[in-house]
Amino acid sequence: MSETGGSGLLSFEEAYAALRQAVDDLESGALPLDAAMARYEEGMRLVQMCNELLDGAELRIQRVGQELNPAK
Amino acid sequence: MARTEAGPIGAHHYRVGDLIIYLRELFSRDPVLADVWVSGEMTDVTRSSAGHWYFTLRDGDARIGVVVFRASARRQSQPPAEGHQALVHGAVDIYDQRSVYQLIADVVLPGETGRMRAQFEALRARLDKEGLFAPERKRRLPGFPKRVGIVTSQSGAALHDILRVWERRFPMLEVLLAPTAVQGEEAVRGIVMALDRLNAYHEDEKPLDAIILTRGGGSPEELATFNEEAIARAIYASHVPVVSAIGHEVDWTIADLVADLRCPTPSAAAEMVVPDAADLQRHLTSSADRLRLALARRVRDARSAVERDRARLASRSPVARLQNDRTQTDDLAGRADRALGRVLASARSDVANTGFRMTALNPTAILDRGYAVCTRADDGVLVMDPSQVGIGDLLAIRLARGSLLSEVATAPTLPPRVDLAGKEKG
Repeated sequence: MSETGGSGLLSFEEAYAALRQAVDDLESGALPLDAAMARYEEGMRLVQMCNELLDGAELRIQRVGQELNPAK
Repeated sequence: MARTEAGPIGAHHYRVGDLIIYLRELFSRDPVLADVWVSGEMTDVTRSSAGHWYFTLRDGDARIGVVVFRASARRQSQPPAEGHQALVHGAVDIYDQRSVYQLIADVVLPGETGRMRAQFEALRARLDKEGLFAPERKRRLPGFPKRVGIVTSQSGAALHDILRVWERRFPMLEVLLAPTAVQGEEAVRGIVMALDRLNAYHEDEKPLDAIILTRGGGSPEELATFNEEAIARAIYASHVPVVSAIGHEVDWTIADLVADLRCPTPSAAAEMVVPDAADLQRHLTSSADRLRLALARRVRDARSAVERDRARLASRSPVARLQNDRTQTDDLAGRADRALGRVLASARSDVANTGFRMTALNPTAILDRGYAVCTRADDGVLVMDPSQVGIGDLLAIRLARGSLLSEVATAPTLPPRVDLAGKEKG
Protein backbone atom coordinates (compact mmCIF):
# COMPACT_ATOMS: atom_id res chain seq x y z
CA MET A 1 0.00 0.00 0.00
CA SER A 2 2.12 2.85 -1.25
CA GLU A 3 -0.20 5.59 -0.04
CA THR A 4 1.66 7.72 2.49
CA GLY A 5 0.04 7.81 5.93
CA GLY A 6 -1.38 10.93 7.63
CA SER A 7 0.59 14.11 7.08
CA GLY A 8 2.26 13.22 3.74
CA LEU A 9 5.33 12.10 5.63
CA LEU A 10 6.84 8.79 4.62
CA SER A 11 4.95 5.94 6.21
CA PHE A 12 6.99 3.70 8.46
CA GLU A 13 6.91 1.02 5.78
CA GLU A 14 8.21 3.35 3.08
CA ALA A 15 10.93 4.81 5.32
CA TYR A 16 11.95 1.30 6.35
CA ALA A 17 12.12 0.11 2.72
CA ALA A 18 14.14 3.20 1.72
CA LEU A 19 16.53 2.51 4.59
CA ARG A 20 17.08 -1.10 3.47
CA GLN A 21 17.74 0.18 -0.07
CA ALA A 22 20.32 2.68 1.25
CA VAL A 23 22.12 -0.10 3.13
CA ASP A 24 22.16 -2.33 0.02
CA ASP A 25 23.48 0.50 -2.20
CA LEU A 26 26.24 1.39 0.23
CA GLU A 27 27.21 -2.24 0.79
CA SER A 28 27.43 -2.80 -2.97
CA GLY A 29 30.64 -0.72 -2.78
CA ALA A 30 30.05 0.51 -6.32
CA LEU A 31 29.10 4.09 -5.41
CA PRO A 32 31.53 6.91 -6.08
CA LEU A 33 32.83 8.36 -2.83
CA ASP A 34 30.67 11.48 -2.64
CA ALA A 35 27.54 9.49 -3.55
CA ALA A 36 28.46 7.03 -0.81
CA MET A 37 28.72 9.87 1.68
CA ALA A 38 25.31 11.22 0.61
CA ARG A 39 23.73 7.73 0.77
CA TYR A 40 25.17 7.28 4.27
CA GLU A 41 23.71 10.54 5.57
CA GLU A 42 20.36 9.76 4.00
CA GLY A 43 20.40 6.29 5.56
CA MET A 44 21.10 7.69 9.01
CA ARG A 45 18.29 10.20 8.57
CA LEU A 46 15.93 7.34 7.68
CA VAL A 47 17.01 5.42 10.79
CA GLN A 48 16.18 8.51 12.81
CA MET A 49 12.78 8.87 11.14
CA CYS A 50 11.88 5.21 11.65
CA ASN A 51 12.80 5.45 15.31
CA GLU A 52 10.59 8.49 15.74
CA LEU A 53 7.71 6.75 13.98
CA LEU A 54 8.16 3.74 16.23
CA ASP A 55 8.33 5.72 19.42
CA GLY A 56 5.64 8.26 18.66
CA ALA A 57 3.04 5.90 17.21
CA GLU A 58 -0.40 5.61 18.83
CA LEU A 59 -2.77 2.78 18.01
CA ARG A 60 -5.67 4.38 16.11
CA ILE A 61 -8.97 2.56 16.45
CA GLN A 62 -11.99 3.37 14.36
CA ARG A 63 -15.38 1.68 14.41
CA VAL A 64 -17.11 0.60 11.26
CA GLY A 65 -20.88 0.26 11.77
CA GLN A 66 -22.79 -0.64 14.94
CA GLU A 67 -23.01 -3.94 16.76
CA LEU A 68 -26.31 -5.53 15.71
CA ASN A 69 -28.82 -5.03 18.57
CA PRO A 70 -31.43 -7.72 18.77
CA ALA A 71 -34.27 -5.14 18.55
CA LYS A 72 -33.53 -4.19 14.99
CA MET B 1 -20.67 -59.41 -13.20
CA ALA B 2 -23.61 -61.69 -12.30
CA ARG B 3 -23.60 -65.14 -13.90
CA THR B 4 -26.78 -67.13 -14.31
CA GLU B 5 -25.22 -70.53 -13.93
CA ALA B 6 -21.85 -71.59 -12.72
CA GLY B 7 -19.31 -71.29 -15.52
CA PRO B 8 -16.65 -73.94 -16.03
CA ILE B 9 -14.30 -74.44 -13.13
CA GLY B 10 -11.86 -71.59 -13.86
CA ALA B 11 -8.17 -72.14 -13.80
CA HIS B 12 -8.29 -70.64 -10.35
CA HIS B 13 -10.82 -71.61 -7.69
CA TYR B 14 -10.58 -70.28 -4.13
CA ARG B 15 -10.31 -72.23 -0.94
CA VAL B 16 -12.55 -70.63 1.74
CA GLY B 17 -9.53 -69.25 3.59
CA ASP B 18 -8.17 -67.64 0.44
CA LEU B 19 -11.58 -66.12 -0.33
CA ILE B 20 -11.76 -64.54 3.16
CA ILE B 21 -8.24 -63.18 2.79
CA TYR B 22 -9.24 -61.70 -0.56
CA LEU B 23 -12.37 -60.10 1.05
CA ARG B 24 -10.35 -58.62 3.93
CA GLU B 25 -7.95 -57.17 1.38
CA LEU B 26 -10.93 -55.70 -0.52
CA PHE B 27 -12.41 -54.12 2.66
CA SER B 28 -9.12 -52.59 3.78
CA ARG B 29 -8.54 -50.99 0.37
CA ASP B 30 -12.03 -49.52 0.10
CA PRO B 31 -11.84 -45.77 0.92
CA VAL B 32 -15.30 -45.71 2.54
CA LEU B 33 -15.05 -48.89 4.62
CA ALA B 34 -11.55 -47.97 5.84
CA ASP B 35 -12.66 -44.53 7.20
CA VAL B 36 -16.39 -44.30 7.91
CA TRP B 37 -18.81 -42.45 10.24
CA VAL B 38 -21.93 -44.52 11.11
CA SER B 39 -24.88 -43.37 13.23
CA GLY B 40 -27.46 -45.55 14.96
CA GLU B 41 -28.76 -46.78 18.31
CA MET B 42 -26.37 -48.60 20.66
CA THR B 43 -27.75 -51.95 22.00
CA ASP B 44 -26.32 -55.14 23.64
CA VAL B 45 -23.54 -52.99 25.20
CA THR B 46 -20.91 -55.13 26.97
CA ARG B 47 -17.40 -54.47 28.35
CA SER B 48 -14.75 -57.22 28.32
CA SER B 49 -12.49 -57.79 31.32
CA ALA B 50 -9.61 -56.54 29.19
CA GLY B 51 -11.42 -53.17 28.84
CA HIS B 52 -12.69 -53.58 25.25
CA TRP B 53 -16.25 -52.40 24.48
CA TYR B 54 -18.66 -54.42 22.33
CA PHE B 55 -22.14 -53.27 21.18
CA THR B 56 -24.50 -53.51 18.23
CA LEU B 57 -25.31 -50.35 16.30
CA ARG B 58 -28.88 -50.59 15.04
CA ASP B 59 -30.87 -48.59 12.53
CA GLY B 60 -34.32 -50.21 12.49
CA ASP B 61 -33.65 -53.79 11.37
CA ALA B 62 -30.19 -53.02 10.03
CA ARG B 63 -27.44 -53.74 12.50
CA ILE B 64 -23.67 -54.02 12.65
CA GLY B 65 -21.39 -55.27 15.41
CA VAL B 66 -19.01 -52.68 16.87
CA VAL B 67 -15.83 -53.25 18.88
CA VAL B 68 -13.92 -50.46 20.60
CA PHE B 69 -10.54 -51.79 21.63
CA ARG B 70 -9.18 -50.77 25.01
CA ALA B 71 -6.78 -48.09 23.71
CA SER B 72 -9.60 -46.26 21.87
CA ALA B 73 -12.15 -46.97 24.63
CA ARG B 74 -10.02 -45.13 27.18
CA ARG B 75 -9.97 -42.00 24.96
CA GLN B 76 -13.77 -41.65 24.69
CA SER B 77 -15.45 -38.92 26.76
CA GLN B 78 -18.12 -41.36 28.07
CA PRO B 79 -18.84 -45.11 27.80
CA PRO B 80 -21.59 -46.30 25.40
CA ALA B 81 -25.05 -46.22 27.01
CA GLU B 82 -27.67 -48.87 26.17
CA GLY B 83 -30.38 -47.52 23.85
CA HIS B 84 -28.64 -44.16 23.19
CA GLN B 85 -28.10 -42.67 19.77
CA ALA B 86 -24.43 -42.44 18.74
CA LEU B 87 -22.22 -41.47 15.87
CA VAL B 88 -19.32 -43.93 15.52
CA HIS B 89 -16.17 -43.59 13.46
CA GLY B 90 -13.98 -46.53 12.45
CA ALA B 91 -13.13 -49.13 9.81
CA VAL B 92 -15.10 -52.19 8.71
CA ASP B 93 -13.12 -55.37 9.07
CA ILE B 94 -13.80 -59.16 8.72
CA TYR B 95 -13.44 -61.71 11.50
CA ASP B 96 -10.85 -64.01 10.10
CA GLN B 97 -12.51 -67.39 10.29
CA ARG B 98 -16.26 -66.94 10.40
CA SER B 99 -16.30 -64.32 7.59
CA VAL B 100 -18.40 -62.04 9.81
CA TYR B 101 -17.65 -58.35 9.33
CA GLN B 102 -17.71 -55.73 12.13
CA LEU B 103 -16.93 -52.05 12.70
CA ILE B 104 -13.68 -51.47 14.60
CA ALA B 105 -14.40 -48.06 16.13
CA ASP B 106 -12.00 -45.42 17.43
CA VAL B 107 -14.59 -42.66 18.12
CA VAL B 108 -18.01 -43.03 19.74
CA LEU B 109 -19.95 -39.77 20.00
CA PRO B 110 -23.14 -40.10 22.01
CA GLY B 111 -26.34 -38.19 21.19
CA GLU B 112 -26.36 -34.48 20.41
CA THR B 113 -22.64 -34.08 19.81
CA GLY B 114 -22.92 -37.04 17.44
CA ARG B 115 -25.64 -35.29 15.45
CA MET B 116 -23.74 -32.00 15.34
CA ARG B 117 -20.55 -33.80 14.35
CA ALA B 118 -22.40 -35.60 11.60
CA GLN B 119 -23.66 -32.27 10.31
CA PHE B 120 -20.17 -30.78 10.52
CA GLU B 121 -18.68 -33.68 8.59
CA ALA B 122 -21.32 -33.44 5.92
CA LEU B 123 -20.84 -29.67 5.39
CA ARG B 124 -17.07 -30.02 5.53
CA ALA B 125 -17.11 -32.70 2.84
CA ARG B 126 -19.35 -30.58 0.60
CA LEU B 127 -17.35 -27.34 0.95
CA ASP B 128 -14.13 -29.24 0.54
CA LYS B 129 -15.33 -30.69 -2.75
CA GLU B 130 -16.29 -27.12 -3.81
CA GLY B 131 -12.69 -26.02 -3.17
CA LEU B 132 -13.29 -23.54 -0.34
CA PHE B 133 -10.45 -25.08 1.68
CA ALA B 134 -8.00 -25.25 -1.22
CA PRO B 135 -4.52 -24.41 0.17
CA GLU B 136 -3.41 -22.65 -3.04
CA ARG B 137 -6.12 -19.98 -2.63
CA LYS B 138 -4.85 -19.04 0.85
CA ARG B 139 -3.52 -15.52 0.63
CA ARG B 140 -0.29 -14.43 2.33
CA LEU B 141 -0.39 -11.63 4.90
CA PRO B 142 1.62 -8.51 4.02
CA GLY B 143 4.76 -8.07 6.12
CA PHE B 144 3.88 -4.49 6.98
CA PRO B 145 0.15 -3.99 7.52
CA LYS B 146 -1.07 -0.40 7.70
CA ARG B 147 -4.79 -1.07 8.39
CA VAL B 148 -6.40 -4.22 9.88
CA GLY B 149 -10.09 -5.00 10.43
CA ILE B 150 -11.47 -6.97 13.36
CA VAL B 151 -14.82 -8.81 13.47
CA THR B 152 -15.60 -9.67 17.07
CA SER B 153 -17.78 -8.77 20.01
CA GLN B 154 -17.06 -5.29 21.34
CA SER B 155 -17.14 -6.48 24.96
CA GLY B 156 -15.34 -9.75 24.45
CA ALA B 157 -11.93 -10.68 25.88
CA ALA B 158 -10.65 -11.37 22.34
CA LEU B 159 -10.75 -7.69 21.33
CA HIS B 160 -9.04 -6.65 24.55
CA ASP B 161 -6.25 -9.22 24.10
CA ILE B 162 -5.64 -8.21 20.50
CA LEU B 163 -5.47 -4.46 21.16
CA ARG B 164 -3.11 -4.98 24.10
CA VAL B 165 -0.74 -6.97 21.83
CA TRP B 166 -0.81 -4.31 19.12
CA GLU B 167 -0.20 -1.39 21.49
CA ARG B 168 3.00 -3.10 22.60
CA ARG B 169 4.04 -4.68 19.34
CA PHE B 170 3.09 -2.35 16.48
CA PRO B 171 1.41 0.89 17.60
CA MET B 172 1.58 2.40 14.09
CA LEU B 173 -1.35 0.22 13.08
CA GLU B 174 -4.79 1.54 12.11
CA VAL B 175 -7.56 -0.69 13.48
CA LEU B 176 -11.05 -0.94 11.95
CA LEU B 177 -13.42 -2.58 14.40
CA ALA B 178 -16.63 -4.12 13.02
CA PRO B 179 -18.38 -5.11 16.21
CA THR B 180 -20.88 -8.01 16.20
CA ALA B 181 -22.38 -10.68 18.43
CA VAL B 182 -20.35 -13.87 18.18
CA GLN B 183 -22.92 -16.28 19.67
CA GLY B 184 -26.70 -16.62 19.71
CA GLU B 185 -29.23 -16.14 16.88
CA GLU B 186 -27.82 -12.84 15.63
CA ALA B 187 -24.22 -14.07 15.54
CA VAL B 188 -24.23 -15.60 12.08
CA ARG B 189 -25.97 -12.67 10.41
CA GLY B 190 -23.90 -10.19 12.44
CA ILE B 191 -20.60 -11.77 11.43
CA VAL B 192 -21.54 -11.95 7.75
CA MET B 193 -22.62 -8.27 7.76
CA ALA B 194 -19.45 -7.22 9.64
CA LEU B 195 -17.30 -8.94 7.03
CA ASP B 196 -19.29 -7.22 4.29
CA ARG B 197 -18.91 -3.79 5.99
CA LEU B 198 -15.17 -4.18 6.21
CA ASN B 199 -14.93 -5.32 2.59
CA ALA B 200 -17.00 -2.28 1.57
CA TYR B 201 -14.61 -0.01 3.53
CA HIS B 202 -11.71 -1.77 1.80
CA GLU B 203 -13.21 -1.12 -1.62
CA ASP B 204 -14.59 2.39 -1.10
CA GLU B 205 -12.35 4.07 1.45
CA LYS B 206 -8.94 2.80 2.40
CA PRO B 207 -7.42 -0.62 1.63
CA LEU B 208 -7.28 -3.16 4.48
CA ASP B 209 -4.33 -5.52 4.82
CA ALA B 210 -6.17 -8.22 6.80
CA ILE B 211 -9.34 -8.98 8.77
CA ILE B 212 -9.25 -10.93 12.03
CA LEU B 213 -12.42 -12.96 12.74
CA THR B 214 -12.22 -13.90 16.38
CA ARG B 215 -13.91 -14.73 19.69
CA GLY B 216 -12.77 -15.91 23.10
CA GLY B 217 -13.19 -19.42 24.48
CA GLY B 218 -16.65 -21.04 24.62
CA SER B 219 -18.58 -24.29 24.76
CA PRO B 220 -18.69 -26.46 21.60
CA GLU B 221 -22.30 -25.34 21.11
CA GLU B 222 -21.25 -21.66 21.32
CA LEU B 223 -18.38 -22.21 18.89
CA ALA B 224 -20.67 -24.12 16.53
CA THR B 225 -21.80 -20.72 15.19
CA PHE B 226 -18.55 -20.70 13.21
CA ASN B 227 -19.51 -23.98 11.52
CA GLU B 228 -22.36 -22.25 9.67
CA GLU B 229 -22.14 -22.27 5.88
CA ALA B 230 -23.10 -18.56 5.54
CA ILE B 231 -19.97 -17.51 7.47
CA ALA B 232 -17.83 -19.85 5.41
CA ARG B 233 -19.11 -18.27 2.21
CA ALA B 234 -18.65 -14.71 3.54
CA ILE B 235 -15.00 -15.49 4.38
CA TYR B 236 -14.52 -17.11 0.98
CA ALA B 237 -15.97 -14.02 -0.75
CA SER B 238 -13.80 -11.53 1.19
CA HIS B 239 -11.28 -9.62 -0.92
CA VAL B 240 -9.23 -9.06 2.20
CA PRO B 241 -7.26 -12.01 3.65
CA VAL B 242 -9.11 -13.37 6.74
CA VAL B 243 -7.33 -14.62 9.85
CA SER B 244 -9.52 -16.78 12.13
CA ALA B 245 -8.92 -17.14 15.86
CA ILE B 246 -11.98 -18.84 17.35
CA GLY B 247 -11.88 -19.93 20.99
CA HIS B 248 -8.88 -21.93 22.24
CA GLU B 249 -9.99 -25.28 20.82
CA VAL B 250 -7.69 -27.78 19.22
CA ASP B 251 -10.44 -28.72 16.73
CA TRP B 252 -10.94 -26.52 13.67
CA THR B 253 -14.29 -24.91 12.85
CA ILE B 254 -15.48 -24.59 9.24
CA ALA B 255 -14.53 -20.88 9.45
CA ASP B 256 -10.98 -21.89 10.43
CA LEU B 257 -10.78 -24.21 7.42
CA VAL B 258 -11.88 -21.47 4.97
CA ALA B 259 -9.81 -18.66 6.51
CA ASP B 260 -6.50 -17.69 4.85
CA LEU B 261 -4.75 -18.27 8.18
CA ARG B 262 -5.95 -20.00 11.34
CA CYS B 263 -4.49 -19.09 14.76
CA PRO B 264 -5.17 -20.97 18.00
CA THR B 265 -5.93 -17.83 20.07
CA PRO B 266 -6.86 -14.15 19.50
CA SER B 267 -3.50 -12.84 20.82
CA ALA B 268 -1.66 -15.34 18.60
CA ALA B 269 -3.57 -13.89 15.64
CA ALA B 270 -2.61 -10.35 16.72
CA GLU B 271 1.08 -11.33 16.81
CA MET B 272 0.92 -13.17 13.47
CA VAL B 273 -0.54 -10.19 11.64
CA VAL B 274 2.00 -7.51 12.58
CA PRO B 275 5.81 -7.38 12.85
CA ASP B 276 7.23 -6.84 16.31
CA ALA B 277 8.37 -3.30 17.03
CA ALA B 278 11.21 -4.69 19.18
CA ASP B 279 12.51 -6.66 16.17
CA LEU B 280 12.20 -3.51 14.08
CA GLN B 281 14.17 -1.61 16.71
CA ARG B 282 16.97 -4.16 16.64
CA HIS B 283 16.90 -4.13 12.88
CA LEU B 284 17.20 -0.32 12.81
CA THR B 285 20.28 -0.32 15.02
CA SER B 286 21.86 -3.07 12.95
CA SER B 287 21.08 -1.08 9.78
CA ALA B 288 22.83 1.97 11.28
CA ASP B 289 25.87 -0.18 12.09
CA ARG B 290 25.90 -1.66 8.60
CA LEU B 291 25.73 1.87 7.13
CA ARG B 292 28.72 3.02 9.20
CA LEU B 293 30.67 -0.13 8.35
CA ALA B 294 29.91 0.08 4.64
CA LEU B 295 30.92 3.76 4.51
CA ALA B 296 34.18 3.08 6.36
CA ARG B 297 34.97 0.27 3.93
CA ARG B 298 34.08 2.48 0.99
CA VAL B 299 36.42 5.24 2.25
CA ARG B 300 39.20 2.75 2.82
CA ASP B 301 38.74 1.37 -0.70
CA ALA B 302 38.89 4.92 -2.07
CA ARG B 303 42.08 5.63 -0.12
CA SER B 304 43.79 2.47 -1.35
CA ALA B 305 42.73 3.31 -4.90
CA VAL B 306 44.35 6.74 -4.51
CA GLU B 307 47.46 5.07 -3.16
CA ARG B 308 47.61 2.73 -6.14
CA ASP B 309 47.22 5.63 -8.56
CA ARG B 310 49.87 7.67 -6.69
CA ALA B 311 52.35 4.83 -7.05
CA ARG B 312 51.61 4.39 -10.72
CA LEU B 313 51.87 8.15 -11.26
CA ALA B 314 55.14 8.37 -9.39
CA SER B 315 56.69 5.82 -11.63
CA ARG B 316 55.86 7.96 -14.67
CA SER B 317 56.79 11.39 -13.27
CA PRO B 318 59.65 13.51 -14.89
CA VAL B 319 61.80 12.92 -11.84
CA ALA B 320 61.28 9.29 -12.33
CA ARG B 321 62.07 9.59 -15.96
CA LEU B 322 65.30 11.36 -15.13
CA GLN B 323 66.19 8.64 -12.75
CA ASN B 324 65.23 6.33 -15.45
CA ASP B 325 67.52 7.99 -17.93
CA ARG B 326 70.28 8.07 -15.43
CA THR B 327 70.00 4.47 -14.81
CA GLN B 328 69.95 3.95 -18.52
CA THR B 329 73.06 6.06 -19.07
CA ASP B 330 74.77 4.30 -16.25
CA ASP B 331 73.75 1.20 -17.92
CA LEU B 332 75.20 2.33 -21.24
CA ALA B 333 78.39 3.54 -19.59
CA GLY B 334 78.74 0.25 -17.93
CA ARG B 335 78.27 -1.52 -21.18
CA ALA B 336 80.74 0.79 -22.91
CA ASP B 337 83.34 0.12 -20.27
CA ARG B 338 82.82 -3.52 -20.53
CA ALA B 339 83.08 -3.34 -24.34
CA LEU B 340 86.21 -1.24 -24.11
CA GLY B 341 87.64 -3.58 -21.61
CA ARG B 342 86.99 -6.46 -23.91
CA VAL B 343 88.59 -4.61 -26.87
CA LEU B 344 91.65 -3.74 -24.86
CA ALA B 345 91.91 -7.21 -23.59
CA SER B 346 91.79 -8.68 -27.05
CA ALA B 347 94.18 -6.07 -28.34
CA ARG B 348 96.51 -6.87 -25.53
CA SER B 349 96.33 -10.49 -26.28
CA ASP B 350 96.94 -9.77 -30.00
CA VAL B 351 99.94 -7.78 -29.08
CA ALA B 352 101.14 -10.50 -26.88
CA ASN B 353 100.65 -12.98 -29.69
CA THR B 354 102.46 -10.90 -32.24
CA GLY B 355 105.08 -10.25 -29.67
CA PHE B 356 105.40 -13.90 -29.16
CA ARG B 357 105.59 -14.50 -32.88
CA MET B 358 108.03 -11.62 -33.24
CA THR B 359 110.31 -13.07 -30.69
CA ALA B 360 109.92 -16.39 -32.38
CA LEU B 361 111.04 -14.88 -35.70
CA ASN B 362 113.65 -12.67 -34.16
CA PRO B 363 116.98 -13.73 -35.62
CA THR B 364 118.80 -13.02 -32.41
CA ALA B 365 116.46 -15.43 -30.74
CA ILE B 366 117.56 -18.04 -33.25
CA LEU B 367 121.18 -17.21 -32.47
CA ASP B 368 120.36 -17.49 -28.82
CA ARG B 369 119.43 -21.10 -29.51
CA GLY B 370 123.06 -21.71 -30.79
CA TYR B 371 122.53 -21.16 -34.51
CA ALA B 372 124.90 -18.87 -36.47
CA VAL B 373 124.38 -16.73 -39.59
CA CYS B 374 127.03 -17.07 -42.33
CA THR B 375 127.49 -14.41 -44.95
CA ARG B 376 130.18 -13.97 -47.53
CA ALA B 377 132.51 -11.42 -46.06
CA ASP B 378 133.03 -9.75 -49.42
CA ASP B 379 129.44 -9.17 -50.51
CA GLY B 380 127.46 -10.04 -47.34
CA VAL B 381 125.41 -12.58 -49.24
CA LEU B 382 123.80 -15.17 -46.95
CA VAL B 383 125.51 -18.52 -47.49
CA MET B 384 122.93 -21.32 -47.63
CA ASP B 385 124.72 -23.66 -49.96
CA PRO B 386 128.37 -24.78 -49.98
CA SER B 387 128.46 -24.15 -53.67
CA GLN B 388 128.18 -20.42 -52.93
CA VAL B 389 131.76 -20.41 -51.67
CA GLY B 390 135.14 -21.76 -52.59
CA ILE B 391 138.03 -22.84 -50.57
CA GLY B 392 139.86 -19.86 -49.08
CA ASP B 393 136.83 -17.60 -49.27
CA LEU B 394 136.19 -15.47 -46.16
CA LEU B 395 132.97 -15.88 -44.22
CA ALA B 396 131.45 -13.53 -41.66
CA ILE B 397 129.84 -15.74 -39.00
CA ARG B 398 127.36 -13.98 -36.75
CA LEU B 399 126.93 -15.58 -33.38
CA ALA B 400 124.43 -14.76 -30.55
CA ARG B 401 126.91 -12.57 -28.86
CA GLY B 402 129.30 -11.20 -31.60
CA SER B 403 130.71 -12.47 -34.94
CA LEU B 404 133.72 -14.23 -36.37
CA LEU B 405 135.72 -13.96 -39.61
CA SER B 406 136.59 -17.46 -40.92
CA GLU B 407 138.15 -19.04 -44.04
CA VAL B 408 136.62 -21.97 -45.96
CA ALA B 409 138.95 -24.94 -45.60
CA THR B 410 137.09 -27.74 -47.41
CA ALA B 411 133.97 -27.99 -49.48
CA PRO B 412 132.04 -31.03 -48.19
CA THR B 413 129.45 -32.46 -50.59
CA LEU B 414 125.79 -32.46 -49.44
CA PRO B 415 123.78 -35.63 -49.70
CA PRO B 416 121.39 -35.29 -52.73
CA ARG B 417 117.95 -33.93 -51.71
CA VAL B 418 115.31 -36.62 -52.30
CA ASP B 419 111.54 -36.29 -52.44
CA LEU B 420 109.06 -38.41 -50.51
CA ALA B 421 109.23 -41.23 -53.00
CA GLY B 422 112.93 -41.38 -52.61
CA LYS B 423 113.52 -39.96 -56.12
CA GLU B 424 116.36 -37.43 -56.34
CA LYS B 425 115.07 -33.89 -56.66
CA GLY B 426 116.91 -31.39 -58.93
